[in-house]
Formats: sequence, structure tokens, C-alpha cells
Amino acid sequence: MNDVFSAGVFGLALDIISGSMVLVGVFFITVGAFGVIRMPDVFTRMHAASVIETAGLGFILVGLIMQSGSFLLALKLLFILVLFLITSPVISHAIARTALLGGEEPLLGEVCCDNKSHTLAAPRETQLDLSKTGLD
Amino acid sequence: MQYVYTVSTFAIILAMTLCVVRAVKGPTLFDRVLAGNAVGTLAILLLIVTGFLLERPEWTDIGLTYALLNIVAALAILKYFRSEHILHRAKREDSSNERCI
Repeated sequence: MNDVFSAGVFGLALDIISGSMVLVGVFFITVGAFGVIRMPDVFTRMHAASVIETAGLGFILVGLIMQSGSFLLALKLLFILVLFLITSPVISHAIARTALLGGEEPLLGEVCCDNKSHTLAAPRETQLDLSKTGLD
Repeated sequence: MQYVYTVSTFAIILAMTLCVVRAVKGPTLFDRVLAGNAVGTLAILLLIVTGFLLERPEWTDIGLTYALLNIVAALAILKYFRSEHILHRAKREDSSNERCI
């Protein structure tokens, strides 16, 4: 790191800000991983996995960009961040579309959570109509 | 900053373990694809954070390569199984309706 940035109060402030951003990203990653385990459905699990890929990776990479002393390393980290911001929705869309085509249907209505089984308590009357979405 | 990197390394390893559990347990195929994609993302993060921890930030290059491979792999797997489902459905409808296309 440059001497101008690492010395004095400015370096300490940079350390505090970037360290807290990395810790916030770690919090989002842990929450997303527990969501991948705990959620009842493919589509809700996809939401939890998207939290890992946007919030967790975003906060950690922004925190590491502040710590990377060189311009080239910051550029590489920024490129990874932009790459994931573009391709993570694409992959989520592809998974959701393939799951709908493969016969998975999202849980509609209220999901009763009694810590043992996730069952469909009150199914809504409107069923998912695949013919209107143009998927078939 | 070393403490932050150590804590985040262990948290990322914990999250990877949970995602691997979902990938092994997952009832449908899409759960496995989803969990595998999340494991790939977390592996990239683990590479970068461990590189900063051991003061070898060159590992970011490997992370970048792995990010590109991860995207292509997920899309290729989904494309393959999408055509599989369409083929099976077409065969089922063909045999149930007894009509030739």
C-alpha cells in the first residue's frame, strides 16, 4: 500500500471501513447459506443463493478493493464484481426457467412452518398457468 | 485486518459446507445445480480472501478464471437438462396420444 494512504488517521479509517464492509459481507454469506439449507422450495432457495452472490460478494469485494494497494488488483476485483452483477441474474433466470419446464411448481399460498415439515396449508385457487407464460 | 480475513475465511468455509449439504441432499436436480453454483461462488471468495490473508493477492487471477468457468458450466448444465426434459415430455405425449409427428 502507498505510504500516503497507509499512514496516520486516514489509513486507520480505511482499515475500519473496509473491515466492517468485509464483515457485513460475511454476515450476508452466512445468512444466505442458512437460507439455502432452510428454505422449503427451489425458487425460495434461489432467492437465498442470490443473497450470497449479490450482497455477500459485493460487500466483500468492495471492502477488499479498499485494501488492495495497487490499481491493477483493484481493477481485477472490480471486474469480478461487475461480472457477477451481470451473470448472477442470468443464471437465476436460467435455473427458474429450467425448473418450470421440468415440472417444478412454486409453493403458493401460506406455508405453515412448524419446524418439522413444510406443508401447503391453504393453497391459492389460481394455479400456475404455463400456457400464458409462453414457456411451452 | 488479519483477524477480519481469518474470520471471513472460516465463515466462508462454513457456508460452503452448508451448500455442499444442500447439493448432496437436494430433492430435485435444480437444487443441486443451484447449490453447486453457490459453492463455486464461495470458492472464488475463499480464494480471494485467503490470498489477502497470506499476502498473495495474485490468487485473484485464479478466482477470475474460476468465475468465468463457473458461469459457463452452470449454463451448459442447465441447457443440457432443459433439452432432456423437453425430449422426455415429447416422448411421453407421443406415446400417450399415439400420434406421429
